[in-house]
Amino acid sequence: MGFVNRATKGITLAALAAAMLTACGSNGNGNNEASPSPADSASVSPSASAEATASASASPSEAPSDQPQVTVEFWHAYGEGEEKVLLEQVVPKFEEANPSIKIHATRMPTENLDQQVLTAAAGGTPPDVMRMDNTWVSNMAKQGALQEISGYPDAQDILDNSFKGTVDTNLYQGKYYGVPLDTNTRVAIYNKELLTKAGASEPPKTIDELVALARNLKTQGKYSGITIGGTNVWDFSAWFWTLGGKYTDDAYTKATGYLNGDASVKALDTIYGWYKEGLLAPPILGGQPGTWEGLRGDKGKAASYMMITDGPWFYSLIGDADTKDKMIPALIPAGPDGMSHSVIGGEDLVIFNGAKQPEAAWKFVQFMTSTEIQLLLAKQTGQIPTNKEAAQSPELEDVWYLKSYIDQLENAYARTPSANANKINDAIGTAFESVFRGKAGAKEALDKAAAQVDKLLGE
Amino acid sequence: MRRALNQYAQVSPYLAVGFALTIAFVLYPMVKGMYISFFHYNVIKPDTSEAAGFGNFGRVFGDPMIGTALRNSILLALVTVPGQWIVGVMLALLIQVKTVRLKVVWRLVYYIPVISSWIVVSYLFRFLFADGHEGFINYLLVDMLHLIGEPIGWLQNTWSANLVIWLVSIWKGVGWVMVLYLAALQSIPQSLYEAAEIDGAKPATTFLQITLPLVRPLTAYVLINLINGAIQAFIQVYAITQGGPMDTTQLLNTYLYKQAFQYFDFGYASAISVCLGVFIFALTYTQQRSIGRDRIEY
Repeated sequence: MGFVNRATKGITLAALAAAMLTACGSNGNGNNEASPSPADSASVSPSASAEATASASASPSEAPSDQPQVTVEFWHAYGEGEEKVLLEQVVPKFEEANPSIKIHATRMPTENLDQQVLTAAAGGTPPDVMRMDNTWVSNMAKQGALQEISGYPDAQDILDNSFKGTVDTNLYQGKYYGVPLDTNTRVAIYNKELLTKAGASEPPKTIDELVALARNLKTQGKYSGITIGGTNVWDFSAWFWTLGGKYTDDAYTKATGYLNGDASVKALDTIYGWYKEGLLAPPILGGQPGTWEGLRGDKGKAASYMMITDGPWFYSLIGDADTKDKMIPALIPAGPDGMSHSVIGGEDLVIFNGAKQPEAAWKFVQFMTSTEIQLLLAKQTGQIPTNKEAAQSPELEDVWYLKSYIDQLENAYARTPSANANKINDAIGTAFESVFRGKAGAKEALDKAAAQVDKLLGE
Repeated sequence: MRRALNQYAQVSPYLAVGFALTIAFVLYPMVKGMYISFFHYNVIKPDTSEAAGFGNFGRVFGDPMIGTALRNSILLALVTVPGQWIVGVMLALLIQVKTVRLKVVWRLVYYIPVISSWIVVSYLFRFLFADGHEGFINYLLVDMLHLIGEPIGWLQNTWSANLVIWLVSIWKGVGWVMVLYLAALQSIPQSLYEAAEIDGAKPATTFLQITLPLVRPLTAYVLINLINGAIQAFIQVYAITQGGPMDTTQLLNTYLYKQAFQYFDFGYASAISVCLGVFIFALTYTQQRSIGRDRIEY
């Protein structure tokens, strides 16, 4: 008997795995027909407003009876300081302007957030609107979680008013499934003390100057002149691109001939050369201390990294007291062709299939992308506006560190936008890592990755 | 006959509950999982899923990562099953020794890992074996004992990372083996040992010739459970290495999880899980046939 139990237990593993899947799948069945598109959601509102009029007539308030009180569920993963600005300034402003709409903002954990979103969407309980990492949008659109936005009022205006690089992150099969909310990029951040120690008074302008400084610093002890946070595309791309490397053609259709082109191989070999020479800090392969700890010193240990790359949150999170005149932001040093490239990150606002209040949610989207709010968020949190007008406003000069970021954005690229972005980025990152771990030569690793990426782009 | 039927009628509501639960949480998901494995499955809009035929299964056999994951799963079993068993039996024997005091305390100490949460234990090991001077093990080896010059990047190399995973798996399981053997050892009649002593048997001979043969049914039970546990392992890798570096510490379970919940490739993930289910079934079925027969009478 006991052994029969064993055997069944064996199969339950498969069942367990399947249970996770079906828990999502079966609930999704009934849901998708019910999801209101912007067009047919009008049919929902009469009944909702009828209900509201009934309650309004009972209450003595002067609220106009044709304006039902609705609650919009908004998910985001803002940091603590950013959430404070959202809750204390942005949301009250919106509710003041739109008294009939309440925003219920939920701060989500960043870990495994995509799984939570997918589960919620499959289970029929997605939020109305979400601030979502822009690399997810096309995949979420492919999964059928998001609404196409062209039917909403002024959608095209919002897209036209935003930077093209950020708009493109919302594309899936030629249609837009969100609007850009904020953007960021990464610049080089120098520890002034170590920069001086290396023999420079200001950040290097070219890669050659940077390498020379790194060599100087190395002779003076256990210091690292160049820090690349890892071999993944988010950390590695800026350097790979600046040195002439490419992932795909400009239309993102083909990697062979680009990712494994001569320029790409040379770029990767150059960086690997730095690694072998001992110029790169340990984080390239996940070593300690981490980038921020190495740059600033940590727990009584002195700083040992002269330079890291990171986004504007480095400054907004640490605060002026510990960064101003100590941690200097500068463009990534220019490569052989005199250009400096970095990677675009950022977030988009998307509306879900199955949103209960899509129209009120869209009002919130319009509000969040307005020049006024984009400026407010930029000044209070250091998030770079995607709204062109806001980004060019002289008011932004109040934020001392933002200039380098906005300058860097001019030559920053998006990571390959694709419904398979996850897999593509993994394939490229693994190719880089295999070179640094001595498992493959640059050409060999990139050939293999290019073939994989070609296939993923074709799917 | 009538009484039997009556009895059935009385217990049928209780049977029905168990039956319904089994259908809802075991059979249905199992069948559905198999069904999904034949599609490029879309979880949000299942009706738009494209049929894949045996395509997903073809991928399972063509994917080099499956080889790596299978290797790791099998190695985990090969290392941690004997590891847990040997250490567990040794602990049981040690605690059993007459001169050992505070038996309850020792039992408790070694059993604590068993009742601790996997996720907590995994994070504990992740911090113990952290890279650089921050990790406690590195601190111990480099700064305290001066055994090695440079801290080891434990989780940055395939085999040292696997070693950490094996260690946590063994450490967490020995208590369970120990407790079972403690109970079994107590059920062996003392007279047998006395007879052996009179015959002049040494402790090692006593253990091999008397103790082990007498606890054979338990050994079979323990080994099957340990093998099952090893092949179903998931959390230690998920929490400690996330499969890194370069996916070289992925297990079959963590790899199929990645396919499902990071790449949203549910069809492929289900195909892997179906293959894994068949593999485990084959393994346990043969085990059951080969060592499940004997009964021991004292």
